[in-house]
Amino acid sequence: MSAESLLVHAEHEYGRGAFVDAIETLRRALEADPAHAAAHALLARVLVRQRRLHGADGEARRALELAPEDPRVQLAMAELCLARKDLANAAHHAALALDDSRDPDAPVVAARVALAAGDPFAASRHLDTAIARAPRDPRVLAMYARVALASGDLAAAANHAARAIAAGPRDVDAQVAAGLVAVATGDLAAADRHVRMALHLAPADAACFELWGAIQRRRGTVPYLIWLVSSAVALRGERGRFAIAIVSFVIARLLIIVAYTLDLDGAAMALGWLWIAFSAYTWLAPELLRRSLQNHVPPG
Amino acid sequence: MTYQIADEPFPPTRLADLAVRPGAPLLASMICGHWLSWPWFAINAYAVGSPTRRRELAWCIAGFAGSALLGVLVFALIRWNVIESRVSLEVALLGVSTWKLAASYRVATLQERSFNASAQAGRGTRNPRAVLAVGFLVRATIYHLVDHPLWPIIIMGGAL
Repeated sequence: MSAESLLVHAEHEYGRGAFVDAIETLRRALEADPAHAAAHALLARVLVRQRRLHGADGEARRALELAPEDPRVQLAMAELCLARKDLANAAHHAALALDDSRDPDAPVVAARVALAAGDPFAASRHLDTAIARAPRDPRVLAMYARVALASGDLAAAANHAARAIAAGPRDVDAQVAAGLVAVATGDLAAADRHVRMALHLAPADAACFELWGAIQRRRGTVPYLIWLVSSAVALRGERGRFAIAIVSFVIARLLIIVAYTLDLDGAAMALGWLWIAFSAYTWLAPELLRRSLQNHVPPG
Repeated sequence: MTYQIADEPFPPTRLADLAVRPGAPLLASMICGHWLSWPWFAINAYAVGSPTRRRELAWCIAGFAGSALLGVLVFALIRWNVIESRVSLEVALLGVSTWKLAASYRVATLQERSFNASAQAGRGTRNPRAVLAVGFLVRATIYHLVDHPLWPIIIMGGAL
C-alpha cells in the first residue's frame, strides 16, 4: 500500500478512536515515505491523544520542517500547543490551520482553543464553520455541546451531546461531552458510564481526567478535595513535577537544618523521611491517579 | 527498518532483563546515595533501550562532576572564612544536595519517557526491592571506603 492510502486508513482509525492501530498504520506509512508531512502530522495528533507529548513534539516538528504551510501540519501544532496549555501559540497555529477549507477538525480545534481562552462566542463561530463542513461529525457535535454548557444553555448542550453519541458512540469527545452534560444535570450514574467508556477508548486523554474531576466535584467536598490534591501533582507536566520536587526538597532541608540547630534530631529525621515520601508521591502521582481511576471506573 | 517515534525505546538487548522503573534509581538517590543511583541510571538507560541514553549518561557524569566541583567550592569557602558556622555550612551543602537531586530527577524524567513506551509495548521489568535494600544496608560501609572529606559530599544521598 502507498503512504497516501495508509494515511487515509489511519485517518479512519483516528476518527473511530483506534489510536494504537492508527500509530501502527502511520508507522507503515512513514516507512514507505519518511518525508510524508501529513503522516507525521497525524501521528503527532494521535500521540497528543495518548499524552505522549515528547513523541508528538518530534513528529510535529518534523512535519513542520517538511511542509510548514500545510494546514494539517498547523493543526497538529495547534493541538500540541493546546495540550501544553500554550494558548497563544495554539491560537496562532489554529488560525493557520483554518486555511484548509475542507477539514472539519480545524474549526473544532480553533473552537477548543477559544473555549480554553474563555471565549465561547468565538468558539461558537468556529463551530458554525465546522458544522457546515461535517453536519454529523461527532467531534463537532461534542464541541457544540461543550460550548453550550459553557454558555449555560443546558438544553442545547444535552441535545448536541445526544446527537454526538448517536453519530459516534466510540468517540472520546462525544463520551466526554455527554458525561459533562450528565454531571451538569446531576445524573452521576450516566456520567460514570460515559467516563468509563471514555477511559476505555483513550485512557491517557486529558479530557477523561477533566470529566472525572467534574464528577468528583459533584460528589461532594471530600472527594473533590482528594481529586484536587492528587490531580494538582499528577496532571502537571514534567517541568511542573520537577519544580514541585526541588522546591519541596529545599524547604524540607531548610526545616531540617533548623531542627538540628534546635537539637531536635528526631524531628529532623522524621522530616527527611516525610520528604522522601512526598517526593516518591510526586514521581508516582500520574500512575497512582490512573490506577485510582481504574479502580473507581473499571474499563467497560 | 521499523520507523521509530522519538520517545520509543531501541529494540531489546541482553541488558533488557535488568530494566527497572526509573523511579527505583531515583529512590536510591534519596535513601542509599548517588554511588548507587547514577551507575544504576546508566545501566538502566541501556536496559530500557532509551533513545536519550547518551543524554542520560551525560547527566549522570555531570551529577558526579558537578558535586565534586561544588564540594571543592564549599571547602574553598571554609578556607577563605566565608563559611564560619555549622548552619552556613549546612546551607552551602544544601546547594550541593539540590544539584544532585536535580541531576537525578532530570535523568529519571528522560528515562521515564522511553520506559512508558516500552511498558506499553509489553516489556517486563525487574523488581528493584533487593537492590534498594542492599544499597540501604551497605551505604555506611561505602561512605567509609574513602578517607577524604569530598567523598561523602559526592556520593551521599539527597534526603537523609
